[in-house]
Amino acid sequence: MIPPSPVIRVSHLTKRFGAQVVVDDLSFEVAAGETLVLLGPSGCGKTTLLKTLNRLIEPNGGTIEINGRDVRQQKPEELRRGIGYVIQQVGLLPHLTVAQNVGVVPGLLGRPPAETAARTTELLNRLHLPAERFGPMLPAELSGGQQQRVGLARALAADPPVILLDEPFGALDPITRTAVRRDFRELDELRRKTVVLVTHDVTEAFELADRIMLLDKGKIQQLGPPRELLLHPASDFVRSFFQAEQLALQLRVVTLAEVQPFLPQGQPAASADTPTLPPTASVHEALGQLDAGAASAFRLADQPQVITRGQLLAAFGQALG
Amino acid sequence: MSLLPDLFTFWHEQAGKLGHQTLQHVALTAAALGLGVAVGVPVGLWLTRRPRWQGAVLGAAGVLQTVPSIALLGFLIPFMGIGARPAIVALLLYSLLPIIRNTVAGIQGVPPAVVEAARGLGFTNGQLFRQVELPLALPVIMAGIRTATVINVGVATLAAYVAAGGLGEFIFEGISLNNPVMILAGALPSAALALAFDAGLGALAALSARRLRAVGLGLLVVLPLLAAGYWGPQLLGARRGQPALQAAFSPEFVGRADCLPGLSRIYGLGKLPHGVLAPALVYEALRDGRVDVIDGYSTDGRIRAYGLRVLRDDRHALPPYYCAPVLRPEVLRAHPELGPVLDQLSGQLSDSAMTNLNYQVDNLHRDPKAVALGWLRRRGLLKAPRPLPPGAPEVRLGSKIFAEQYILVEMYAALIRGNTDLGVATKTGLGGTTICFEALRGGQIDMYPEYTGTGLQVLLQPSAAVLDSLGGRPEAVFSYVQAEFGRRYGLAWRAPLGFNNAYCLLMREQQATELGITSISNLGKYLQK
Ligand SMILES: Nc1ncnc2c1ncn2[C@@H]1O[C@H](COP(=O)(O)OP(=O)(O)OP(=O)(O)O)[C@@H](O)[C@H]1O
Ligand SMILES: [Mg+2]
Repeated sequence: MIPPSPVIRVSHLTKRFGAQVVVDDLSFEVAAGETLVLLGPSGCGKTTLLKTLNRLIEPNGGTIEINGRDVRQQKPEELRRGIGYVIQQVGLLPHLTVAQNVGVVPGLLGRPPAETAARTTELLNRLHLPAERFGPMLPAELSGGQQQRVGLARALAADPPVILLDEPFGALDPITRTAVRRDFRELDELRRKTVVLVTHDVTEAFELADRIMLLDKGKIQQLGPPRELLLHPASDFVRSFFQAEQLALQLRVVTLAEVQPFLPQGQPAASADTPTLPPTASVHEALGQLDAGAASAFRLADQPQVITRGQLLAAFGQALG
Repeated sequence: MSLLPDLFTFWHEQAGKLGHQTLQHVALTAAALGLGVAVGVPVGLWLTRRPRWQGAVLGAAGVLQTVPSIALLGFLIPFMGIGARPAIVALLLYSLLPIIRNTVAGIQGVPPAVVEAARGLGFTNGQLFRQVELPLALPVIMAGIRTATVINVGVATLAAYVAAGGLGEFIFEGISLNNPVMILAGALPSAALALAFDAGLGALAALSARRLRAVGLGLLVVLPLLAAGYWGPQLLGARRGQPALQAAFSPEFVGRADCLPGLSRIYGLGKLPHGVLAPALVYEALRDGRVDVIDGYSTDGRIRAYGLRVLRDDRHALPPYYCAPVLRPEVLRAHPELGPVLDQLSGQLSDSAMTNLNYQVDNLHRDPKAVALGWLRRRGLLKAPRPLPPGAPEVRLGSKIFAEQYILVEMYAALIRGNTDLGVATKTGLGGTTICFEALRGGQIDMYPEYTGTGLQVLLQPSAAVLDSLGGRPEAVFSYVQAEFGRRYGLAWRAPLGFNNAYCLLMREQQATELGITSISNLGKYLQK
């Protein structure tokens, strides 16, 4: 299989504000359907980098190609209509209804109103904002979490192949944040899209990212899959960045297949109602299953014997060695 | 209190005038407002793109706002003459600050996050402006326009001072005639207009941002239409052929029964088209040929300076206005020596002498005091001021706000200083008749020069029967005024000074000669043709 060609290709991108170099000679690619998370301390240049992709900020040097075309060869507004964009402050148009907000980009693209209306209804329903109730409301009548869902629906409405999100779940309380994030993850549309997402939140990055780009002072510190950054940090900066949440993150990246060699042998065979998990599931997911369900043990697919909570944690400890 | 029934009677009797003035008022306001929106909103928008200019432009508009409206009109007259043009320009200048300022504030008040999100979604600059910034700024811009409207309706009352008409005509006539009913007759509709305009614009704004087009159309179509309601007929009138002569009269002259209405009746001046104009402006308007007939005072220095002709009142329709000091008798009782001193002037000033003195002040711009002392010296009446004994009581002299009164007050002051041990304080420029009179009654001043006709018509306002019995005879009027002032107000008139500063009709000497007009009868006959 030929690897999918990159949708976004950035080379030697540089942006300065006065004497301050905010984006420093960055080169990277994002493949079709991939979710790249930009992570890093405040002020490291995440927002600036994201905005250069849709030309809200013009860089001082370097090139950006999207779908094989240099962004500078397109009119900014035409480029932007093909790229979904969500900002932290949401920025819904306060004088338009929820439905009108969602339909903004299809409207700019001149799509037929009936088609836009159907698409709006579908998206709002899918994001748990029943269209007949929320569609006619004004943004000011919604809660913060509801507004962010509308912002998400608006970015998706024209079905753009690329979506940029700048801290889309910021400024929400943890419970709402988790709920909106879950809705986001469960949108199967997003699986097909190329996503670049900025966040402060390490857990969020691990949950959503195919690859994480860890930035500091405008430079890439490490770019790779989450587990690689966690288990094989390229520098002390990368290591210390994840230090505080080390254990929680490890639970998320280590799979059952990796702990299997350390599990005790000769356990009793499972009964028919023992829950089954795939070897690709993370330890975190397995623990979640045990905590939530009535069962006290589970088994791996294609393996006969049961595994208890204690045995799993012991094997996890050994696997990290 | 018969104010309210009187008011309704007045409106009923003057319904035609009221309608016309209201129409003019609406038209002036609407024209200025339309221009204000057409200029102010684009300037405000431009300023949001050029923030560096904001300080300068808003500062300039702010300074304009602080110029007193009457002064602003005065500035404009040399450039634009009289009539609707300077009035509209003045109103326009007043409406700029609130409109520009609110436009800037409205656009800048759009949350940056909304602008960024809209850009990020692919709005062009134009779409961002029309579909996002303008609709969101609209309530604030409309608030500015409403502020400008209320200011404009109020200031438009001053348009009556420059012959632009409007409800100010009633108000100024009412003020100069000391007639509260007349003042209210103009002021109440003006206030009602302000409320109506405000409500109309409020309704327009409530159409909400989503109907931007409706709001824009509403402002840019309705306002010119309202303005056309006034000038349309005027333009039609112009096409039917301009009347041969145009007059401008001061508010008091228009409103007083014995002035324009009396003249119209007696001489048949009904066909003379006239505007209302501030007394201070009528002479220049006549000199500059903007109008052909004005009312004036027969001792005014400008008659001589501008080459004007007094039309003879051959049928004695205009009332006599002999000047005499009015004072509080307490002052005379406390200082009996004052009476003979004041009387030194009685009968001493002829019409031509007074005209000449006024000419020196009004037209040669000499100091009233110097002019007054010069005349006293020539008459041998001037004495060096006596040294004041400590704690000497003071006589307070008041005057209305024109040269003749300043000169007379300076004469009295010099006479009192030279012949008594009393101090003198002058309170000049007390505005019109009512202010001087009330100051005298209230004891804020002790004396001021008044005219028999004014005392009769403005202050005493006797019945038509009494007026008829007096019949415009100077001695009869003086005796009546003297007696009635004593009886009603406890105030005393001294003997008149000699000159009769009566109302008169004036034309340019040259034009009057060409048309062969020397008397008001001639004028009436000329108009009948
Ligand atoms: N328009 C601008 N003019 C000048 N400096 C700017 C501008 N925008 C950003 N910067 C500077 O560039 C640096 C990076 O800003 P950026 O917004 O990209 O950071 P960030 O990584 O998104 O931070 P955060 O996580 O706090 O949002 C900061 O030091 C900021 O002060
Ligand atoms: Mg940021």
